[in-house]
Amino acid sequence: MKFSKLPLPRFSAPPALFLAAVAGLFQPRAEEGVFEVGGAGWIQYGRVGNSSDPENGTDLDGNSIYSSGAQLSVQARISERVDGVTGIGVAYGHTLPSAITKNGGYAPAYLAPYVAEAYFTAHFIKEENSGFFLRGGLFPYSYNPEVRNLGSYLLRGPLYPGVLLSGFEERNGFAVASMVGVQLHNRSGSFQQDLIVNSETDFFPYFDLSVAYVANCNFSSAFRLGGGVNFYHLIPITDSITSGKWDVGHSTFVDSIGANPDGTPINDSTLIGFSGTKLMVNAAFDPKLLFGGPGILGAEDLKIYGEIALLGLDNGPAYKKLYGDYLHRMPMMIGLNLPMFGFLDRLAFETEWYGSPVKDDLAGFNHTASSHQNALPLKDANGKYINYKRDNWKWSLYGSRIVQGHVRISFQVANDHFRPGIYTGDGDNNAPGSQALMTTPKDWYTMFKVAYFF
Amino acid sequence: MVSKMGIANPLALLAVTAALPFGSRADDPKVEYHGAGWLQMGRVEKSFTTEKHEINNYTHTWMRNAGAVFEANVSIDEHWDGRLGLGAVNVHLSRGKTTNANIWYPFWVPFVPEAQITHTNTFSENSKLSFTFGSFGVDYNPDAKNLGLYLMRGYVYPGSLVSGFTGPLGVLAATTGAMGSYRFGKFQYDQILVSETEDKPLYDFSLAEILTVRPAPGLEFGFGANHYRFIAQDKRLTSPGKDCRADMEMGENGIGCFEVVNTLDADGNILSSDTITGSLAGTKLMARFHVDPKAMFGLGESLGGGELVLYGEAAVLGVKNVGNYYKDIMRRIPVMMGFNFPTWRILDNLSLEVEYYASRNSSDNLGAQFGSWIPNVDPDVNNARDDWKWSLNIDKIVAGHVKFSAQVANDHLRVGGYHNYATGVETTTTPEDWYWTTKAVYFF
Repeated sequence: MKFSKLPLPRFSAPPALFLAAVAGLFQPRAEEGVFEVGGAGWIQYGRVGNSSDPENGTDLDGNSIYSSGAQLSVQARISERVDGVTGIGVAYGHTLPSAITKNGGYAPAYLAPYVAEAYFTAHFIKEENSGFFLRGGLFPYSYNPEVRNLGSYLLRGPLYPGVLLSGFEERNGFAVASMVGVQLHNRSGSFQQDLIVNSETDFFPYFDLSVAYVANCNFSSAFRLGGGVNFYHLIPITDSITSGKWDVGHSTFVDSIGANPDGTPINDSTLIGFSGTKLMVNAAFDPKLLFGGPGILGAEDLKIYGEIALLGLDNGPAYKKLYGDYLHRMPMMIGLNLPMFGFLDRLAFETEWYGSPVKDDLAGFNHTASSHQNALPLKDANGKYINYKRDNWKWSLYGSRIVQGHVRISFQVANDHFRPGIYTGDGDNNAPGSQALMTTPKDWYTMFKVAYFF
Repeated sequence: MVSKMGIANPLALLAVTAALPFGSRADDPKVEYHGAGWLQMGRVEKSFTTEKHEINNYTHTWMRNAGAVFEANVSIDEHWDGRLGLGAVNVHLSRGKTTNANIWYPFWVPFVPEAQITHTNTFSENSKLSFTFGSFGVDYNPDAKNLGLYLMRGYVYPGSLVSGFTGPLGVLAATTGAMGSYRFGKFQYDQILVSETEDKPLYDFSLAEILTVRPAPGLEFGFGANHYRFIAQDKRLTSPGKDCRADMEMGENGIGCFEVVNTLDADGNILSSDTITGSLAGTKLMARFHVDPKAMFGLGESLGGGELVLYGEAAVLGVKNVGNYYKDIMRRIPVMMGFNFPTWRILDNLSLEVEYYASRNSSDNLGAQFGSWIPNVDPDVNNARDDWKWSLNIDKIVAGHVKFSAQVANDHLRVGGYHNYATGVETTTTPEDWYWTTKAVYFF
């Protein structure tokens, strides 16, 4: 096998959208010395209800998007203290066309292989009330397990510019592998902490190492409080790229701070890099447990959870002008699982506020032959930084139910950071657009998925 | 844009490096499942580049890949067993010069490490006949960590060599075809029919024969011949004639269909031209040895099984002289030797391999991938500076299921260009060039 013979995927970013969270469905627990196989297949259909951004091309309202896939995983319990999982899958799908195409109105379909999970876990302490393990490879990690769509700010998404990620059962929102590196986990009673070293595979510059620390404490069975810090791109592979020095022209913010007596402007130049620090706190409250248990309610019903993050501590004049003050770099979300009395396993309503002046678009991280990636926000055709002020509020309604123990039906209606990738029409060979479709309060879309798993 | 992806990359070989742990056979009708995941990272520390090729400068370029495979082995009955493996690897093309980093991105590649069925007849403890069909690994020289394996890797004309960071957990890139293997006493004879699936023209058949002799404990010799592309699917492509048009037959990456030798006068004017035709097809010969003084003299129980082993391999890449590029058979003989240093089981392997290959043709194999038997010619490159290659390899398996490996080398690594700019140029082409790479593999 040589790369010269490989049909490389035309799309680099959207496949990540379809690395769906099916792996989280099956968690085979093999007995010692035993291998267990798990598998899943799914189909997913979505439709844009309303999308207002004129930059996305022609009217996307009513456009549908489809994907399907399957994956297999093998879990091995090598010994009482060592186990490992390997899983691979293939996803089929397409991006969203913004123009009439020859393909029946669809963007060309693609097949995207992926590794669902590939990691080992070595337990040094494995007791009922305490634990200590080392995990390495491509592994799932979620510090805020209640989150269905919004949130999880600490470990998903870039820092500068502070563009958020969300999605319908995407790997970053669920316990599906999204970390490439190592995790050191410690649990002692109601307190647990994780140190994670993650190699960047989603956003440019690739393969830099980020170091994150996350702690959670259950103050009672009903209340959990957590927090964390992520030193994003702390260890760069190539310092000049991460710092922006490789392309000073594109990575420098030039601000006019006055004028000389002769009228010439006095400029202040600041080089903006990709690295920085994220902070996060999150909490979850389950009032049912204060009143003796779920009763006729479902296990997830009535849970309230939330998360706040600060994306970037750099607070010089340039950073303030580009990314706003601290308040406008703080996404915050809150969610409530509505009571379903067992009719659904979960019906979660989440809402988010994020007052960032940055356009909700990842185009700055995309590879192109004509431009260099940089951490500055996107500009419009007139050279002004784009700020959609009507996209500060997001919401999401997510529901799911497992039927017969092996079939999960789930849906979502949302105004979030949905970016299916835009295909601009026949002959479009560029990387798909990565702008969020939901830019005003009246925008929304739906998603529906059926997954079979064993 | 995608169609221009003419990038060859030896990292693809690494995609299958986790397959060997699956070497165990199922002992009962039950299916055995195995899996592995790995992460590899390394960096080119020094890579010669000409000013003309500055855009393809690999010095201080990182290399990385991560992936997983899983495999099912089934024993159907006492004669039949099969294996099926699937995998995916996340890789990136070389970033190249920093200023090209904007077109650098990782992507996923699926692969099939093995898909084979084997029929075995066991006559006695030391006598066994087996036939294997499908896609399988062929590793006739298990000592080789990086260099060598000339018989089954690479080409004949041009004689560009291929190396790879496989390690003890690795196997070669899957061979598609059939293999018959007969072991009788101290002898083993393998005959392998290979369908070409790597390089153009595709689906030519090669026939390789390998005889392995183990005359005494700790002593092993191997001899082989590979009748490379002896059955051509289209003779016009495998052995192009004078009417061949390289742009039509081989595309933009083809070097040429034939060699043109001009006779010049004192002023440099062409007096006459001679067109020399050739072929991708040819015959390789191979001989190798393995000496283990521990087994020969009953030494060193404190040493690991592979320690102190001295091994080597030599090959003739094409027995027939052709034109000016292949007029000296001595320059078509690569020779390698390796030694496993003693570590007293602290490491599973610490080996040094050295290779000498006096070819004066370019080691660029891009043309060969697209069907050119003519070597690439770059007047800016001195092809005499890459005769010596070396590789230092370290391996350690921890807890039976995690393997750490490292390699420091000046070998035939080809990072393949970047984005849609393909090259087959070797990364280390002068004695000063080198790179390192590390790998962590979890397997079960």
